[in-house]
Amino acid sequence: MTAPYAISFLTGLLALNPVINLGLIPTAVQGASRSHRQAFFYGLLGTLTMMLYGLLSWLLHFYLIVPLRIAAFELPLLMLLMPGLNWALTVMLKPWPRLEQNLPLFYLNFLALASALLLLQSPPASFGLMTLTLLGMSASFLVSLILISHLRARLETALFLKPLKGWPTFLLASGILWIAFQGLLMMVK
Amino acid sequence: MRLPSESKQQLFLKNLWSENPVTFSGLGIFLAVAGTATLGQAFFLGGMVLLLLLFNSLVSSAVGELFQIRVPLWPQVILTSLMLSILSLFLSGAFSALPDNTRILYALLAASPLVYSRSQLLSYNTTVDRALFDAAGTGVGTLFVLLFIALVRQVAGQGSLAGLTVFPFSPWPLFNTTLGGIIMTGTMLVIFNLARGKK
Repeated sequence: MTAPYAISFLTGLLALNPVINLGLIPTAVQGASRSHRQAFFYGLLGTLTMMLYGLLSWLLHFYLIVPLRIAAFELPLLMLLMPGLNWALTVMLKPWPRLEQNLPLFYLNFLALASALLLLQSPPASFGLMTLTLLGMSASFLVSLILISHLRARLETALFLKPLKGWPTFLLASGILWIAFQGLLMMVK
Repeated sequence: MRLPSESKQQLFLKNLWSENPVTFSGLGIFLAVAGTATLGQAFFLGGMVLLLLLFNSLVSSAVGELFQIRVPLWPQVILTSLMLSILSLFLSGAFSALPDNTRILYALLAASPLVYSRSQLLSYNTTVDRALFDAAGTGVGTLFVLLFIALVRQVAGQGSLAGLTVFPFSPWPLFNTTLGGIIMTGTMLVIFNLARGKK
């Protein structure tokens, strides 16, 4: 009975992480993983954004796009959701300035769109399955961002080579994490 | 920094190499990592980036010249996503011949800072021809880097190129995976950093 829910969560966690598994690395993530503290707060905000945007996209898909058969215009409609989401997050996060100050890093909510598109590629049929898939994706994003920031901190101090600083170290850390996630996925399979 | 005295050719060449959006600013990294599994995919996505950059810069500079205003980001985003949606109606055949993640990467272009960078930073404040040269340099620079990475990945990962067998076996199958994209992009960036450091 609980197997489909567990599979949905694990799929989100291991197979649909937009940062690592598909290599969809937004520029903001690279900037946000320079320090552990920033990575944590950015990760929390990312988790919240992915959850909210994923939920709205799923509702839009099943309650508007599928009934009206306007799949061709799904992308503009998804993009229209973004300004609304940005506004809502700004209002919601007023009491938490540490989270709010990371909001500009979500330039156009690239990450949110990536996760929504991954979710809608084979959309979960029920609300429960969708929520668990999104939870898995969000948790995976938070964990990978924190791990990348720790890996980067060690790599950048261990390797004294100047050309490796910045993007190459970030990619190196992402590569290591990609291998780890693939290993976990193989074990689950 | 853009100087008013820069010629159109200088604008083009600057974005092609020294301020390349993949190797310099990192705006196109996601495409370099995930959109270079095959040469066809790299050409398709790079071509779309070039097309969108030209389109956005044309709109932004034309509106800037005619009305002396800057096109806000959101209308441009909606316009671009509409354009991508309409184009995708004619591209279903191309999508089926390309790797699975192409459709997602194609849709992600609508939210990519890479596509709006030139129109929001320069185009609204300059003439149409200068804006087009600037956008063309950025787009062609992105396309070249994507094609180079895809070329290495395809030869190393599949042992073939454009239907021709280069190796009778696959020398490094790992290059077919996302990790191959991460390794190749990282190597490209290190080479670029070394070349820049020597100057």
